[in-house]
Amino acid sequence: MIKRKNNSSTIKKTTKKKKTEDVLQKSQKEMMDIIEFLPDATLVIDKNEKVIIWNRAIEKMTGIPASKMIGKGNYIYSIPFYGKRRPQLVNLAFKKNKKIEKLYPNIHRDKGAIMAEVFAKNLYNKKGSWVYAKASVLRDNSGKIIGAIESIRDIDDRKKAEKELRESEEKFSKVFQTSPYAIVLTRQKDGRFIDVNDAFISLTGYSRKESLSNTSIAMKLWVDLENRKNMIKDLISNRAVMNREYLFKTKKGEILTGLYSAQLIKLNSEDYILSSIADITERKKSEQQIYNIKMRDEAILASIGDAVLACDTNGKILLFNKIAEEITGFSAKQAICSHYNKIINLITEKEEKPENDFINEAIKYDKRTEMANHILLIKKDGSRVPVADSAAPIKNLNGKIIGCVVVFRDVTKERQLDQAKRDFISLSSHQLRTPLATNKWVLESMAKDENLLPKQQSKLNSLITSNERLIHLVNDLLNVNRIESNKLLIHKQIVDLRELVDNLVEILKPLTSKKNKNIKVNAPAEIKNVFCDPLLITEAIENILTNAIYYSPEDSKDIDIAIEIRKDDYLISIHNSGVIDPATIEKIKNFERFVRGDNAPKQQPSGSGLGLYITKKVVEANGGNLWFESNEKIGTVFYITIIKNK
Amino acid sequence: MEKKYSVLVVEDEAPLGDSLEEKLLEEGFDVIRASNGEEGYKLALERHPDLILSDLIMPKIDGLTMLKMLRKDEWGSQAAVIILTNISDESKVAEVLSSSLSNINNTYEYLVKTDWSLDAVVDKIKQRLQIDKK
Repeated sequence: MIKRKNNSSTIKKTTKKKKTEDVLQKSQKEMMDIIEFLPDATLVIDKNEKVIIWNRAIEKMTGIPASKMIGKGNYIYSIPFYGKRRPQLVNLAFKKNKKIEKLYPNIHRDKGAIMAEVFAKNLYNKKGSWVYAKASVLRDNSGKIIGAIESIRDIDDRKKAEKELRESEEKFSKVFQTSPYAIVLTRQKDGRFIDVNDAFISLTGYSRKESLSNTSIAMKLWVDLENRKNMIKDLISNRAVMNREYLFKTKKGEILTGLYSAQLIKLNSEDYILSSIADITERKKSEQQIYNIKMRDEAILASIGDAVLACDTNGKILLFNKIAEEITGFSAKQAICSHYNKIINLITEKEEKPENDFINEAIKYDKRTEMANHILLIKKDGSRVPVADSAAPIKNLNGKIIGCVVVFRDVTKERQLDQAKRDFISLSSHQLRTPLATNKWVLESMAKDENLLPKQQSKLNSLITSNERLIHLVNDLLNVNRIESNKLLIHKQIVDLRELVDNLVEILKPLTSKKNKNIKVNAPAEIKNVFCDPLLITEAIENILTNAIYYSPEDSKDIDIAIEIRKDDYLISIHNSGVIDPATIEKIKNFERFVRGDNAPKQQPSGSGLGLYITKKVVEANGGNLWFESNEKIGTVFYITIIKNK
Repeated sequence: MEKKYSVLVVEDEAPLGDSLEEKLLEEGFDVIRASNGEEGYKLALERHPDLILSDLIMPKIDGLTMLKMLRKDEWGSQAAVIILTNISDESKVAEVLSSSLSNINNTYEYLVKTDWSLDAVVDKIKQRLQIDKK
């Protein structure tokens, strides 16, 4: 027991007493030393509530040396803790004070000691700290209260850890409850559900009450118990299983596909299974749909009648269908990942030059390309097949070119059919010509008969005209046939273009005067040596001139032919002041076959709708172009160019 | 025409042959008629006409074969020939014109019947026989 240091009045100067006092002082000293070195901050006050001990630990905690605190009363010692003078736990050991006790949230007493946890805001340079304090009164041998002691322990770290733990528990609980995945905590030894979350409830249809203390087996959650057995086996050996697809049955009996993961965890030295189920039924469905679509697309591609290949922008083949295999002789396995150059060997039929550029062009210039006519594909075994082919760039959603799709087909049969068609047209046209020639000559000799009545003469003339129409039509048909079968032979020679045009104007004179037109030629002198095919150029100019004669309006009398020498070609322009109506322009601007202007049948009933088409083709065959302009300002001008020989 | 020129018309289509014959007679020619290549060949060698006007497609022997046969004959190799046909296929024309047959001074004329009036055919014949137009 500790006695007050300066309580000298109690010391009797008797040897015996002295001896006893010595022992007492000695033990008091020892006690004080012990307190001095206690690891907990400790202060002792006497019954007057003045500080008699302020140990080293409390010096350190408060930053106030003992010398400044010993003998201080009036609650000065509470300043380092709370920043003001007030009773604290050590004072409460003497006497209760409800007002002060309220400041300690969880104050309690036990066998004369009083304990509390409190935040002392002024400790550590006013940083503050949680402390655990314990105080009790000190009594002498006779049981008389002589003071009180309070030891204070810094519990800041513990408090922090507790707080973190609480927060993480809250977090876990939040995750557990709000997770979109069904989460279940199961006790391993009996398979009973300890906790389930909301997602589990909505997924399975079982309420929390129904689930807790139940087992998955009893609830028939697993469609296949064998799966569960295997899962448990793996779980025990690996302590975790991840992302397994199992089928589960809901309370309503619906089957769903779950992505299942589980982990063994130890809680209070008992094994639990924390498992989660993500419902991927919809995902599986759409996966299946995507797979079905993909299979369907592949089936379509495989069974498409044309060969299809797709390549990336580097020309690497990504797709190669069955027909492509058949036509080329290469298997898809050989083709895929090769450059298309290695698989698709195309050459031109006439010159046997390689022709693969249209694929490259499609990628490079972002346009749909078609390969030139009359292309042969060299198969793997070296044999050749005629093919027709087109290529188009493949773009992603952003419009960036990511590759090229090439469609080609074996045109052997088409060629044969085409040939058969041309042969038929050729044969039937020639057969038609025999009676036409007979009519022509018989009618001609009949028309010479001077004894014919004017009425008969006029009827005969009608017959001659319609026979000529038929002859013209047959000629057009044969011409088109020849153009389309590439049988148009070109015989270029040095031609006096002026003479050619003049002769033509002369030949057309009867028609010109009949239609009340006047053809004027304006050409320079230096066109005596034009290298071209005279028959083709004559035909072209004649067609345009006769069109002008037939179709220009009656008040537009003059037809002007001008020839201009340009850098690379000769430009022949044939002008009249009439204007072609917009609907007709739209119809004829592409020079297609069997297209006639709206009023054409009225103006020239014998037209076949082939004239401009043939003209375009013969002009091109000679090396040049045909085009026209028609508007109020200039009237109508058809242009023919003849490329200069280099 | 002081001299009477003879023309062998080889034509299987009777009305065509008739029209030609009538026209040529009118123009003062002697006309020999044959209705196929076989007859034409025989009559050509027998009568040595000044000019042969022949169709190409005919029964028995076609015009081209007949001409090839004729060219083997001494007289026939020099005979003047104008082909009248309904074939305007340029490759066929080329075949006729470029064959060894045309290496001789008497080159072929090749006329598509429907493109030529009787008058024009006669003009062509006269031009070929170097008879001045009336």
